[in-house]
Amino acid sequence: MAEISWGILLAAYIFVGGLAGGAFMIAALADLFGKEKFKELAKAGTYVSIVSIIVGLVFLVLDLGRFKVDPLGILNAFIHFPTSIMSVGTWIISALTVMALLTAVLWIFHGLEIVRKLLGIVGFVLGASTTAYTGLLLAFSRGRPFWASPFLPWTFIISGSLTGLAMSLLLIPLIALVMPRFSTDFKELVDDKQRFADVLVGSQKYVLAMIIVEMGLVLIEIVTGHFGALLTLGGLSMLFFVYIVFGLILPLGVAYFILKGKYIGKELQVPISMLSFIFILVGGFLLRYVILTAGQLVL
Amino acid sequence: MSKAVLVDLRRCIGCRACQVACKRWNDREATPTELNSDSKLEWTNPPGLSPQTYTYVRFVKTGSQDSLKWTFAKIQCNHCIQPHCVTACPTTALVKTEDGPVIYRKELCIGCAYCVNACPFDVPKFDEENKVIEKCTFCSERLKENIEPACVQACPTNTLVLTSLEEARRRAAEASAEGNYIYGLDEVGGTSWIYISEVPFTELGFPSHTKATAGEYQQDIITKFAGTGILIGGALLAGLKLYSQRMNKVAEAEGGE
Repeated sequence: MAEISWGILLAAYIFVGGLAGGAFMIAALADLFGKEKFKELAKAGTYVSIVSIIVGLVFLVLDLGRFKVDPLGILNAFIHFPTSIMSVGTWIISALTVMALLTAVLWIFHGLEIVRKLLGIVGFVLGASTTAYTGLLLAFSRGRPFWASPFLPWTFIISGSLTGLAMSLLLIPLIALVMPRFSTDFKELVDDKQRFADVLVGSQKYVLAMIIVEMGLVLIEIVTGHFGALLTLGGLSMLFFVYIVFGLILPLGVAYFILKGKYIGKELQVPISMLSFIFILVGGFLLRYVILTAGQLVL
Repeated sequence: MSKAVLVDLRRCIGCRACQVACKRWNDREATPTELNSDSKLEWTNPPGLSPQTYTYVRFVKTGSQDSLKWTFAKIQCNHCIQPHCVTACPTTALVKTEDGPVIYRKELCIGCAYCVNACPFDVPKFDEENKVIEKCTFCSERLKENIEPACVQACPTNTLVLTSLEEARRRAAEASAEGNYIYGLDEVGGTSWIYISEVPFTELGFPSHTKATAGEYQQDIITKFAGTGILIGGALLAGLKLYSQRMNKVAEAEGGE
């Protein structure tokens, strides 16, 4: 039986990395197509992306465990480009960090909109690449056939986008509450209850669509055999089930009923949406943890 | 000239001299073990590769009663011609040399363990304490001095023969023509340690692999990834079209009322 060399810290890293890429994809789309309605979402996605990359780097350095011995050694990961997909990923994430930082500066200092939107286009591609490359990295692992699915990178892209959107929408009221002076727009949006509800309800359309796509991908992977093993792995199967229920089914139900205007009253739309976004984040982490661990256990 | 080792399992008597010689040459520790609980592998000891065990002999029982047969299979890094570990390594810590060995340069390693998961034969083992990997080195420093690897020199039955890659492949092809099983000619694009056996390799626990090299394997996945993207995109567009058609119908129906 294979031993686990990639554990929970690495699962956390790929979760946060996917979230970073996905958040910037959402931010770029909101800035390019969202007009005034989703302006705050575009900002929030940019900030989420930067913070997530930093947090991800911390998880990665902790997982590698060589910071005391060789603090700059991690820079060696840039060397084997483009042969090693891991090296490619290192460059992609670095480029995304630069894009996200530049975009954040343009937001904070009200910089040229056209430059910001152009950065958004480049950043969207980098964000998508960030979410996808970890799936490709796993799929290339010839010693771990469980991961050898061309659908895995797509699952990570959609999951990254979904978790990125959820985190960005959670960040807006969080900043409005904890440091309102950092972004007065966030405070103004949250204070304008009607407009905030509109943004959340509007976002639920995209949440619904992304969950449906993710469900479809997970189903295809179970049917084509790759994830089938997940149904018979004891504790891991339980976690997979928790992901399905809390990460997919419940948020899907919330999105559907909010959009239909049924069962969830207007005064409950905001708190229940926030709760479903937390579920989405938990689900996103569990998905990656389960896939990462199962791939190293299933022969 | 690239070196190779022909491993003729028909000759192996399971003496484990290769295990001992490897431990001595590479300064590996003996580790406490117990009898393997797998009934097919019960005398295999140590039970597998580890940071302290670069090679071990797998004791495989096939058949039963009158047809009972033991086969002894030496396992170590196969020093693939186009290694997955080398392709995977982000720092070039793992390198395929012209002589044949896939060597490991600890000073470049960041401890990411990608090679551990990339290797088709589950060879590199992660040393949790030192955050590096350990594996058979093909005694590359001995080869440079024209000395055989420690295990090859120790083997009393000529199971292990150091030769050129071309010669090893030629002899293996000859043995195949005589009806023997061969491993390492085609698998993962070919390896530098090529096996001959009277027993199918699937019964000896050797993993089945296609002849795709690391590069070809990755390219295939990328192509399928792009292809599935087109399928997913098409499905999404179709779904969106159906959805907007339905919305139009609903709007018309409501407008009519």
